[in-house]
Amino acid sequence: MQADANGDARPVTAVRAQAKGPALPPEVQGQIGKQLRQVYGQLLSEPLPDKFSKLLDQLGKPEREQ
Amino acid sequence: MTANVHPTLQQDLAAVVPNLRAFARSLCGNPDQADDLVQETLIKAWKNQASFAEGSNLKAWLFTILRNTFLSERRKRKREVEDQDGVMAAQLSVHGAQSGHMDMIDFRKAFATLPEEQREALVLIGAEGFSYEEAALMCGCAVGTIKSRVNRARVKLCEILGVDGADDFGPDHFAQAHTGAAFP
Repeated sequence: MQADANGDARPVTAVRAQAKGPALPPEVQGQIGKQLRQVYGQLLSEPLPDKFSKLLDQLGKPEREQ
Repeated sequence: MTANVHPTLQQDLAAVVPNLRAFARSLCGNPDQADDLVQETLIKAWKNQASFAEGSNLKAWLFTILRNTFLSERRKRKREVEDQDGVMAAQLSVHGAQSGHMDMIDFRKAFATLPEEQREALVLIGAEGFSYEEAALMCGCAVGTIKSRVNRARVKLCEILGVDGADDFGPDHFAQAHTGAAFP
């Protein structure tokens, strides 16, 4: 094995996943990541139906009350 | 009923419900099915709380339960699954109608075309901020496999969305690209 031009001695796992295919430029990854977080954030901020708090209340009750 | 081993579990579970719903929706586009999956996950977590080690990552534990539940239910009804996959793009984009922003609608449509394993890896790493190691444990695969899935997902999204250079970015892309801790 040969050190690269920059003398990069980082372990393979620390190097960007270039071995698995063409690595995207950081700004492109950033743009994809931003859109993903926007879309996912919208899902996260959706109002929660009551059924979830009801279920959790029910789970927390002692057996005889269920 | 199950003994409550973890005194704060009820509140802790409640705090993760939005994440469980969002993750479930990323796996199966159908909102009702996603909510059923979350309810099932909460019940299983409660019943099996003795197997959760205090101090370990509750969200990762719950996501693993949800994922396993999703996969085992799907194995049970294999024929229905093909239908589900077929309508997923439509369902995710129905949700998109709530947002008038064209970029987000396009993103949802593009996301829905990704193979399930790539959607999952991208959400775990890019949206939920799990480490590659955590995601690999949750998915029962090698770290390199997660990296590869995330990379393929990003490349595919770029192809579909036509993102290929700095010209496509808004003014805040630069900061985002350099501070996005959840997106290494």
